[in-house]
Amino acid sequence: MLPDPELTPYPNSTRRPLDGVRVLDLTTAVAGPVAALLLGALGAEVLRVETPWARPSRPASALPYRGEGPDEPWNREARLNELANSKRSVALNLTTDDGRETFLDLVERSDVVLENFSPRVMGNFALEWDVLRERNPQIIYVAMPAFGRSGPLRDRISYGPGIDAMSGLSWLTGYADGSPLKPGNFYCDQNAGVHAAVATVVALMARPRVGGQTVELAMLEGELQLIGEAMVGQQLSGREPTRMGNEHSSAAPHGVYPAAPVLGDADSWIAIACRTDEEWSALLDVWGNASVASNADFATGLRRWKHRAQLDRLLSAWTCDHDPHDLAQRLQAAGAPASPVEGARTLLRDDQVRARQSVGGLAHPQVGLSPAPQAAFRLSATPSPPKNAAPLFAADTVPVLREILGYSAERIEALLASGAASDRLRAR
Amino acid sequence: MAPFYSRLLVILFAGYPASVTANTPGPLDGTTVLELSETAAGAYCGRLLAGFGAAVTLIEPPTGAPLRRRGPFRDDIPDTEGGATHLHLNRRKQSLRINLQSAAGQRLLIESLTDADVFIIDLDRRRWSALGIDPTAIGERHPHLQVCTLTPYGSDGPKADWLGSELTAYAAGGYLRIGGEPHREPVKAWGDQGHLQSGLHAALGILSALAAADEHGGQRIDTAVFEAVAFLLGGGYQHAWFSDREPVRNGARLVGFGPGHLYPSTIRPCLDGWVHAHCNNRYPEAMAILFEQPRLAEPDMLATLFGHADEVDELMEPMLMRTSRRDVVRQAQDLRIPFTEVLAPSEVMADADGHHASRDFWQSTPHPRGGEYLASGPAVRFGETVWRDGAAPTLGESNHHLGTPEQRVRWRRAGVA
Repeated sequence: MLPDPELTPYPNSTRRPLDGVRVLDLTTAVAGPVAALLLGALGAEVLRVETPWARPSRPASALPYRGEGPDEPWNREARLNELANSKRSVALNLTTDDGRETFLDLVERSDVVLENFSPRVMGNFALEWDVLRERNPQIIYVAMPAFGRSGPLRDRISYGPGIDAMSGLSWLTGYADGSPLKPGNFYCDQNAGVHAAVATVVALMARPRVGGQTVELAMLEGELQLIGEAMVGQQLSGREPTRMGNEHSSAAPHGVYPAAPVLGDADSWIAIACRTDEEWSALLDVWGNASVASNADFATGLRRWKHRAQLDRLLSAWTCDHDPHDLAQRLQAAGAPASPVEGARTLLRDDQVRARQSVGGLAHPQVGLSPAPQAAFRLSATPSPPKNAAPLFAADTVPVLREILGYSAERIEALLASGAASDRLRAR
Repeated sequence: MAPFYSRLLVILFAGYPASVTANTPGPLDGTTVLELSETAAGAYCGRLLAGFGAAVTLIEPPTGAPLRRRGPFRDDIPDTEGGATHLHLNRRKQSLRINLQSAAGQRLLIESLTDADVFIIDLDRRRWSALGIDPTAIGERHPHLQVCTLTPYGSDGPKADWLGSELTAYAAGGYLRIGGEPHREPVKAWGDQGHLQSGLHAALGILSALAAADEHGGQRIDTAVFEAVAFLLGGGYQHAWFSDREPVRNGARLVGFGPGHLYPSTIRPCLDGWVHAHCNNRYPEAMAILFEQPRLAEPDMLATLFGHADEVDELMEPMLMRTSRRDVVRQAQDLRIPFTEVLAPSEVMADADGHHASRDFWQSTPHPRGGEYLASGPAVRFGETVWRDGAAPTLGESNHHLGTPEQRVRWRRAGVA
C-alpha cells in the first residue's frame, strides 16, 4: 500500500556554481525554458523576457486557485508553471524602440542571451549577434533553432515532436508490430534543453580565453547524438534497424507485464529485464514455478530469447495477480532488475523519490506548494535544487528596471505607459 | 595540467565560421577525464566532454568495456573493436586496459587520478569495493577532482542498491507509462534514451562543478539514471499533485492534455509512409486550407481541437493518402504549418534535402579494421571554439604511455596493465 503523496519544499542553497551569472531568456515552448530553468537552479539569475500579451488570459488547463492573492488564471497554467521555475519574469515589447533599447541595456549587464526562435526572428527584432556583441563583447548568445541556423531546412518550422520524426527516433520507437510513435511527449525538447544548458556552461568556462561567442544547438543535431548506434549500425550491417517495443536484442524475459491494480488504477504494470543467467535464476527463485524452471526451452539465454513469446505469456499469468511494488521489491532483493511502471502519481509517493527529493515543492503565491523535478545530479559542495516557483507574469519588470538598469521612476513610468514594458498581462 | 600520456587527436572540422581554425581552442582543452563506464550513461557523458576538447581516457577491464560487445558489427562478425555503440559513443577517447581486480591495478588507477580533473564512475555499485572504488575516499585523497558517479537510483536512499537496466529505468522514472497505445502495454522509446539522458545530466553537473572549481574545488556529483527519466515528465507532476490522476497513453498523440488543447500533434500514415502532423499553434485554422476541409476552421472545432482528434484525423486522411511525405510536408510548410517527414535511419543519412551535407554534419571516421564510417557530428556549434571529433580507441591503445618501460614489463607480467 502506497502512502499519501507528499511534497517537501526544496531547501535554499546559497552556494550554487553559476552564482553571479545573468541570463536573458527569450525562449518559448519547452526546449528553451528547460535550458533556462536548469541554469536558474545552478545559480544563474534568469530573466524570462516575455511579450506583454504572452500568455492566454484563460488557459485551457489552469491549476486550481488556492485563494491567495488575486485570481489570475494565466499564472496557473500547469506546464508553464513547472517550466518557468527558478526564473524571474520581465515583460518587454521588443517590437518597440524603447522595449528593444531596454533589452539591449539588459544585454550590457548580462552574461547570456538564450533564444529558441526560428532563425529569422531575432533579425526581425534587429537583435542579431552583431548587435548584441556591439553592446557587450562578453555576451554569450545561445540559439536553439529546430534545424540549424544554416542549410536548406533552416527556415522550416517545427516543434520538438516534429524533430523526433526527422531524426529517425520516431521511426524506431513503437511496438514491433506497430507504427512509429513519439519517443515521449516532448522528448526532443527536453533533450535540446539539457544540451543547451551544457553548452552554455561550456561557453561560460571558455569566456576568459575567447570572450563572448555564439552557441548554436540545433534540436535535430542534439537528437541525432542519441541514436548514433542505429546510424553506425546500419552502415556496418547493411540492415535498417527496426522497432522492437520493449524487447532486448538477445535477452529474455525483457518486457512489461501486467500487475494488480495500484491506487485503484487497473493500468498497472511491472518491468522485468533479465539479461544474464544470474538474473534469470533470481527471477526463478521468486517465481517458484517448477515447470518453467525445468523447461528445456528456457534453459539458456538463447533459448529463452527464441521462446520469448511463450515465456512472456507464462510470466504475465503470474505477475498479473501481484502488487507491482511488492513484486519489484522481492525481485530486486533476489537479484533480478525489475521496477513498477511508475507514473507521476506514484512517484510523488515513492520512498526513493522522497529520500533524494527527486521531486520537491516550490511555494507559488496563487496555487500553493507545487511540485517540480530536479536535475539528476547532486553537487556535494554547491547544491542546486530549483530555487523558486514560476514567477507571476511580469512581477519583476519594475524591480529589474530599477535595480539592474538603474532607471528613474519617471523613465519606468513612461515605459509602462507606452507599453514598451509592462508590469501586468495586457491584451494584444 | 599536463597529462601523463601524450594526446592523440584527430580533429575534423565541420561547418564552422571562418574565424574557427585548426588552432582554435576546444573549450575544455587541458581538462583531463578518466572514464570507467559500463553503460551508455557514462559513455555519453565522456563523449560530450571529449567533444568539448577534454582528454578522455577509458579505463577498461582486460576483456574491454561491456559496450564494446554490443552490435551491430561489420558483416555481423562480433568484434570488440567494431561494435556500433562503441564506434559511436567512444569517439575521440583513449583507452587504458587496467585490471582493477588486482591491488596493483587499483593503485595504478588511484595514482592516475592525480593528473585528472574528472573521474566518471558508471559501474554497478555492488562491485565498487571489489574494484577498489570508493568515491568518498577518492574525493578525499584528490580534493581537486570532480568525482561523478552514475547509478540506477543514485548512491543514497532505500533503492540505492537496486539493479537497473534501460527498461527498468524508463519504468522507474515514469516515462514508460505514457508511451504506447491505451489498450496495450506501455512501450519505451528506442535505444538507451534514459541512460543517455542521465549521461547528459551528469555532464551538466560535472561542467558546473568545473566552472566553480576555483572557489569550491572538487565535488561529488551523484547522478541517478531514473531521475534523468523522471525529469522528462516535466509538467506531469503538477497535474498529478493537483488531480491525483494519471494521464492515459495516447498512441502517437500527446498525453495529458484536455479537449481544449490544440491538435494535431501526431503521426499519420500517408501515400508512402508517415508524416508528423502538427498544427501551427498560432494559426490552427490554416489546416483547413492545407486539407481543403472548411470544417477544420469552424469555431466549435477550433475551440476543442484535441476533443475532435478522431475527426481531425479523418479529415486529414483523404489528402494524406494520395500525397507523398515530401509533398505533404512541402505544402504544409508553404503555409507555415510545421509538418515533418517520419524518416527511417537510412533516410536520415541519405539526406534528400542536402541539409546535413550543407552543414557537414556526418563525419567520416576511420574504422579500426580499415575503411570508414559516417558518424554524427557536433552536438553544439560554437562561434569561437571548436567541437572536436575523432576515432574510437582500440582496447588498451594508450597503455604504452603508462609509466616507464620497466614498469610496463612488470605490470604486463603481473596481469595489471
